[in-house]
Amino acid sequence: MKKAILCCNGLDKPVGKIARKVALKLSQLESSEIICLVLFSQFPNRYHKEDYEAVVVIDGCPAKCATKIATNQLGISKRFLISELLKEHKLQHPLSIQSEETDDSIVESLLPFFEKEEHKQERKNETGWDAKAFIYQILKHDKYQFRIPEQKDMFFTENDTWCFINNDIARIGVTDYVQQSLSDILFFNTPEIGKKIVQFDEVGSIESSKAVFEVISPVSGTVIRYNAELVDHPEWINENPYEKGWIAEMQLTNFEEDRMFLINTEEYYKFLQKKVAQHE
Amino acid sequence: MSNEKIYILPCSGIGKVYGLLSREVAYKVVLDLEPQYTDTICLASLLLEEIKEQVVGKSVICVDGCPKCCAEKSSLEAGMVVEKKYLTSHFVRKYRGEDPGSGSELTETGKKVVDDIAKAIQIEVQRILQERGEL
Amino acid sequence: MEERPKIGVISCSGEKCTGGSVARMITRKMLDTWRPHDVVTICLPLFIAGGTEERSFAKDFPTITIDGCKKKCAYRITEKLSGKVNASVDLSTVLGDELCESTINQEPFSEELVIKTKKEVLQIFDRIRAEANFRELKQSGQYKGCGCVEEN
Repeated sequence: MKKAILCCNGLDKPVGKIARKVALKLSQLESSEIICLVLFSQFPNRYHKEDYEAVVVIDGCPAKCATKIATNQLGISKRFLISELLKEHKLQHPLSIQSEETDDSIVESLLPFFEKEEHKQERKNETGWDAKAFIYQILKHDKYQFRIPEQKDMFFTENDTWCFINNDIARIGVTDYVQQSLSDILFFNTPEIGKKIVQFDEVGSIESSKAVFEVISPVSGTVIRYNAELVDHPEWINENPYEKGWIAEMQLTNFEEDRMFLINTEEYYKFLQKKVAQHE
Repeated sequence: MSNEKIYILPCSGIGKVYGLLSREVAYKVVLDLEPQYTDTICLASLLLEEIKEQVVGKSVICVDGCPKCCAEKSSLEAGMVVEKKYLTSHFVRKYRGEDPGSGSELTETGKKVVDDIAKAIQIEVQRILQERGEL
Repeated sequence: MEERPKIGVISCSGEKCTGGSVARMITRKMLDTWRPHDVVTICLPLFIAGGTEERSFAKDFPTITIDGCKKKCAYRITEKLSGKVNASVDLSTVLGDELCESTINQEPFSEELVIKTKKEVLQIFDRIRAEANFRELKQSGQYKGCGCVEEN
């Protein structure tokens, strides 16, 4: 199924002109259909939500004409406002309705904000972890569901942290139990790059309004990288602590020794089952 | 010129303090700061057909407690136009180390958070009204 | 010792009127003080927005809805999205339509309104709880039909 792109008509404003150019560029890059706003407003019954994988609406200015027209009939998957994007990211504004001089460069500078989420994720995946391949066991307790990944080469500690091994590098993070217990995570206190860590030392911390949780390293090694996105988006740890919410990557010192004190998925499942039952 | 009230829709999430914050923000704006230009509506009622008919195409400012954005999702589903969205959890960050309260009751810190968000919404309401030519 | 199943309580939290505020506070009281070990609150906005944990719980466990007015949004939505509700409370039958539907600035929320409804709500809750326990005992084979429970 294709994506539908609906953009405003914006004839009297430069941002309207940019909205149209962005829509045209997107339709070339992705499998999508541009819907003429005027035609849609005259004959809305020709278009049905079920025919499209997603509906993207692009408005030029805060009048949001395309949004208002699309909302009733089609529903909206994603909405963009050109004037807001230009302001928020301090980008160059178009000169005038007539002048085409800077339009192409403005469109190019806006395109990254429209890119698909999965393309962005693939570019960031420099160390080879395939974030899409995760399979989970689910531990249910009352209304709560705790995800526990079943990945080969993934191990856990009884401090509710995990490590995912890729050759001599470990990616580490906290488990679903931690993010559920903390509720909304508001701050990520980053570990120091280059710091040598012994297994079970602290490597950064995360903070909610309820508590501060020191992340206990499951492995010994040197911190080579941390998930910088978490500084602005600590809530990613709540959304998925194993994939987009990973904490840090470490160059391993001696994993064979560390392995003796780690547990696998099945063992962590049983451990967590007892823990949540005792917590009652 | 529409003269339609702008809806302030809180998520009112019952489990966490962020939901209570969103609810108190909505009351602050609708009862104290901008009673002439704003109104609130029950989020759950947006699923009822008779209510949907009344609100479709109307402007709404959503006050969500957390990134799950339930108020925004429900507004869009009901065909409302989301002018802006606020997350109470973001505003709590300013008061790092202080306890805003629980799902039942706010502390003094929680009340300060409510004031901060309500003032921000008031500015947004004024902006929308100016755009509409109603101010 | 068998694990007693918890009961899900779904409240309307209606922002528009006094009844909604009372419904919300009753649910918080159930969770905090009245029945803290027996209750799971289901967040209605999250339930509506597609929260899988909320919907899954309401399908598998007994649930009670508490509505602030006769529109009965919590009851109608739960039945629509998750299945049959075990019991529903409509506060307008206890407190009256006029009070429940008054706006929050006409009838400010007060603890007295919560106390007025406490007995009714707890009666319903305890009945559902007892029924759920009974079902659990039967399924576990401990109940022998004579009122005695075989101990392990």
